[in-house]
Amino acid sequence: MSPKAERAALLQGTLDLLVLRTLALGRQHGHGITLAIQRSSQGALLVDHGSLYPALQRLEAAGWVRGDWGVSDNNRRARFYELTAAGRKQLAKEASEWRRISEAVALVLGPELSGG
Amino acid sequence: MRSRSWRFWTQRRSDDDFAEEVESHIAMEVDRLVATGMREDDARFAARRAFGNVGLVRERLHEGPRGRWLESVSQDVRYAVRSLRNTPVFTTVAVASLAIGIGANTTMFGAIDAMMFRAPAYVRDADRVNRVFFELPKPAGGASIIQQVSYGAYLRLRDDVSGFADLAAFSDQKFSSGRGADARLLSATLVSQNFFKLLGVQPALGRVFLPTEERDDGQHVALLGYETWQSQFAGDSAVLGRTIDVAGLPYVIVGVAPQGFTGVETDRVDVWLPLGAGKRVQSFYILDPSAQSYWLELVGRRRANATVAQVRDQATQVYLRLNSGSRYFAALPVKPHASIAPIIIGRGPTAGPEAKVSVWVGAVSLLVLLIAAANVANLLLLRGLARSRETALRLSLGATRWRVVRHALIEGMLIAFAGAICALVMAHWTAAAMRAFLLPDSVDHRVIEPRLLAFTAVVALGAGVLAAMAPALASAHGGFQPLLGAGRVADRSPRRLFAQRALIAGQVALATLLLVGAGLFVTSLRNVRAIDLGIDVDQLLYVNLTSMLRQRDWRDSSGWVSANATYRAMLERVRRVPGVANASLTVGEPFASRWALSLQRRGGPPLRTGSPVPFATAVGDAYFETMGTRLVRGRLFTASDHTPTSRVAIVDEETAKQFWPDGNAIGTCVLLGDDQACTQIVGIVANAAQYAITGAKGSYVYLPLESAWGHQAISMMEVRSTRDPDALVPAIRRAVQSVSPDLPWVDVQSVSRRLAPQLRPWRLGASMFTAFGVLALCLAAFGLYGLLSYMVAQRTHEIGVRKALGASNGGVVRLVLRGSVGLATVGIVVGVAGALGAGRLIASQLYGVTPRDPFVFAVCIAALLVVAVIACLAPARRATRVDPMVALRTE
Repeated sequence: MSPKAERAALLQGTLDLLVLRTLALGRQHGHGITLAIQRSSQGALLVDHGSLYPALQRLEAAGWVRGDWGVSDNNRRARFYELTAAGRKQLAKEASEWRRISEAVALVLGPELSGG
Repeated sequence: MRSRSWRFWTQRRSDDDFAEEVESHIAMEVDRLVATGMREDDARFAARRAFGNVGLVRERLHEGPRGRWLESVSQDVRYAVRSLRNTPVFTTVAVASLAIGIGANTTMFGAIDAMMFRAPAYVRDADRVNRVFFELPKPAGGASIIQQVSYGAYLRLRDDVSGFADLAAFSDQKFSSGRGADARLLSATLVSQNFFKLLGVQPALGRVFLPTEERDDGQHVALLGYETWQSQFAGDSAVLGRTIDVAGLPYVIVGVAPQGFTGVETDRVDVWLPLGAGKRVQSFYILDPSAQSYWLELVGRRRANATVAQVRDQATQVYLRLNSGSRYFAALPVKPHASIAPIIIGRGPTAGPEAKVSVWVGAVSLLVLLIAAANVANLLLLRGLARSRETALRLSLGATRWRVVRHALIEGMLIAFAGAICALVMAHWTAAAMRAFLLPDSVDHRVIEPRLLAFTAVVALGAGVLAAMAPALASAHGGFQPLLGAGRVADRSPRRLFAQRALIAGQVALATLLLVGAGLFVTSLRNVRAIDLGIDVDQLLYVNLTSMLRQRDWRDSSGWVSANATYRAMLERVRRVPGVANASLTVGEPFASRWALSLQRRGGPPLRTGSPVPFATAVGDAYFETMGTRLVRGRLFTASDHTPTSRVAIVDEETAKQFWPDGNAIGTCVLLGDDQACTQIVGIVANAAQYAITGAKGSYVYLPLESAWGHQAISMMEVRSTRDPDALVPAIRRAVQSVSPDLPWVDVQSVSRRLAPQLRPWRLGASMFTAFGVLALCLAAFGLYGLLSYMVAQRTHEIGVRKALGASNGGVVRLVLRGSVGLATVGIVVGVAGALGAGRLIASQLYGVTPRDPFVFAVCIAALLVVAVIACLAPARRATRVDPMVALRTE
């Protein structure tokens, strides 16, 4: 298995979390979501356009987001997604878990960096 | 999981809908890029590239959850393969463990399947085909199984048991074929004319017997066994119409049986003959309905609507009617009844002890598999601990618990299937050897066949799931979760170490069970071997003379007188063969045939009915020396006893005890049979075995061969060799043939080979339990070693602290030793308790040892403790090498 495939598996949960977080700010279409993530991560996180839609599909299937066709700012027909109540709850849960874990990962990684 | 996918399917969007969404995304991206000053063509290209393969994305969505599942499973499989490759030692040990466990089962399966589950080849609708036996309750309890009936009884049963659509009779016999140096022995099955039709077997070539051919008068016809056709007639299809010599008569070949067809048994059949050929074996094997000669075995096909119970009742009625005149039957407290058994050879009342023992060994091999699975479970657990950080990361990065569990399962499966493949490679040899051991005469030599493959796959699946269960549950319980926050402490979570300890103790317990079994069987085998048979069976051979001159006319005494002269000439030749220490001739055959002869003390009370009647056998000079039978008192026969007028006899200790409780047998005078003259007892010899080596011994009266008693056909030559008796067989055969060049097959066999089948159950039990017991012990030792190594590695810090605080190396070694021996002790206690409980199950299989033999238990416990100590040597050494400073710094 290539390292790329492993990173994708690794990012799966993260991407979901980021999408939910972005939608918490309001209704958005797929293209808007990619831009929002890129912007708010100050360009550090590049969202693979190709994997965003499967993620959206998954979130919609889980009942965490709801999709509907609408018209974008520049008059393009686009599918807009918004967070459901369940999605909001999920976001809270995943976010707090992520914070806890990233702190823990930092704890684990810390000593090795300095003590090595 | 399910509700989610359900929602997915019900809310599934159309492809067009999705395509439109993708197009709108690309259009917006193009807008954005153009707005930054890019040319529209370039922007379109860049937008597409950023999206990646549109078709692939659509496909991924189109496949839905199932496609994603397959993809993620294949991802997991690849991941597992890679991580197994990265830890070659772990993988090798785990695969080897399961290969041993699965291999043990695969090895046993072929033989057990053939004995217990599979009907003989070519039998159509085998569940309606039954063997028919009769059970005769013994007055003392139990029952003797009557397997053979007379021809008259066969005809009555065939015609009067309406539940049978048809009933066939058969008899297995040996015939000599050819003469002189080309002579060979044929295994023949004599069959009634309806035999093949009843079983539903079509010949490979030619035809089966006609109803008119059953009696074997007129033209003699035979069917060849497929293997004989191949080896002796080169598979020539023009074989029909040619002849094969059977007991000196030409038999016309009318057909060839299909390949591997062995009738209702599993032994190879060289030639099939009509029932009437029986008269060439024994003069009383005749097809006379009124003859009281019991030699035919029965096999019947039930009508579709007839139950086993109905057929049994009908056959019982017919059998009782047939024997209505018998006083013996009338005196029986419980009436005899028919027994309708399946044709599978390991079932039914006549199943040999091999069947029972092999089922035991099958159970034992399952135990070995359990131990192996426990071993792999332990290894996986230990590795799980080592990788708990990785698992925690995976969990936190969005992997579901199911995914982590599935990962463990996939790893277990991969190990199991790699093990299964190794096991099959092993089984290629071991299973063949096992079949040769359990079913020595079977013609079915296929080892790797579909049923075995299916069985191995199922066993591997079970072992994989079993092995992966503990680690999967451990990860599902979130045993890894607290790890990230709390560092090392979680590694020693009590529950996980408990699981591992339990697994190790369980392994030790199972190994204890197997070792005790091995000890009991080995002791039994030793006891059986040590039985004083009254005959020194090592380096002893028999030459069967009965079969040799059978074709000659025995009806007048001149026949056997001239035959006996030939046998004496043979004896002289055999005695001159280099390597032959001694040889003698007898009437009657030890372990097989002899005649009963009433014995009465002169002036003593007449024999009451029910008093023991000794067996008589007439022996030539040097008989006792040849047999190795010890003289207890008096003298052996001398040359002067071997005269037609001599009236002397030798009795054995048992006979002497029965008839002369006062101990004054020597010199007394007895009346033998209806002889009115006095026969003098000149000596007492040790008791010799009668039939079975574990059975009754003694009760013989020996008479000189050349005396009045010896006026019958000699049946046996005994030969004592000075070296390996089996190597002497060809030389003896040549010596015998040199006397009379056109002899049929000369049957020479070492006695130990002849007795081997009797020893087989114990040999089988001893070798299998020992082999599996040692395997189990090795597996348990390895498990123990693995756990201790891990514990030492985990407790490096603690050991360092102890050493820093002044603990000696001895103390550290004691620490590790305590862990090992403690665990082993728990396992041994459980195993011993189990062995004590299970002991009575194998009690009937043992000989001369109780299932609670203290010596066997003591040796096994000692062996296990020694192994436990050995298992901890390396980890203990590692512990003593812990440098306190390094250990403390790593924390």
